Amino acid sequence: MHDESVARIDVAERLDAALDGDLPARGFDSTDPVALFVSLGAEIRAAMQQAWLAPLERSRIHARAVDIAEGHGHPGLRRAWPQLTHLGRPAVVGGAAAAMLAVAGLVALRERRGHTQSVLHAA
Amino acid sequence: MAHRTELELAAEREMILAAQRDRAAFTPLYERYVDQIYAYAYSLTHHRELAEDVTAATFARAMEELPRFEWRGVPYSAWLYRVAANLVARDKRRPGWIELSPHLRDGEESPEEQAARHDRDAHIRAAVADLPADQRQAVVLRFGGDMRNKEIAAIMGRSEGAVKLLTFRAMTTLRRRLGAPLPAEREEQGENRRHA
Repeated sequence: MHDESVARIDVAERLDAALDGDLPARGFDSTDPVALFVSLGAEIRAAMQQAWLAPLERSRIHARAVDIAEGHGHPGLRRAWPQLTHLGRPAVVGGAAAAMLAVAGLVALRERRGHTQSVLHAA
Repeated sequence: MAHRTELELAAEREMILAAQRDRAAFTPLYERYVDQIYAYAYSLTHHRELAEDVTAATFARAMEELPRFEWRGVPYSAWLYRVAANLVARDKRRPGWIELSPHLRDGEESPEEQAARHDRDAHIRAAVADLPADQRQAVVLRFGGDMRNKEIAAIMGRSEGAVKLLTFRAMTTLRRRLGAPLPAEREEQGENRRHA
């Protein structure tokens, strides 16, 4: 049991040194447990370093980061990245435009009704 | 493993200085680290939208702090990881942290290669996602961020010895889940079968 613990500590220490680059990763015998861990480490590294985000997601996060920073009183950030203009606050911009159109429509409708009513009154 | 060389660190320092002179020059730093920070945030939250929120907030902070950022000879990502970890720690009381299966993105490979790689990567990422939180964090920082123990210890607020132990425990678990057991483990399994 004691020997097993010592062996584990030895593997942990050498694995750590290999991962830190202090020991050459290819310098282990293939039966050495450290060699197995090092090759597993390379696989994990490859899997973890694959892209996690699609380009559009990356741009969206960037645009949100700029929004947050500008909201915290750092104006003019968006000007530094003109490519973000089409991504910036699309919902807010779209929503505002829709709201303005709705208001304009209501005003027009009210004016028309008012006009119709006044025409009816006059009649 | 692929830790930063002195030359690479010097190049990164130049990138930061360039970004401090001209905000538009921040883009290469963002492109270099956004996936890593997202992966780390995802490993902490297990929630895609929250991970996006944390990533966006981390880079917002990076943009805000950039003029005052002082180079300390460690990768810029160490600072980004710490910001992301603090943001998650601060927001962790929020409800709705839901476990999701890891998602992958397509690269420029043949469909067969892509499928094989996706299978293996998804398997690895799922195994990493199943690790206890502190082991998962150590693995993501070690392999996703190419951090050294000292840097991981600073980000996680743990001792270097603790990080070394976390990584080894995580690797032992991952080895059992993902690959053939070690010779000693095989013997142990054989013993167990004989006694069963």
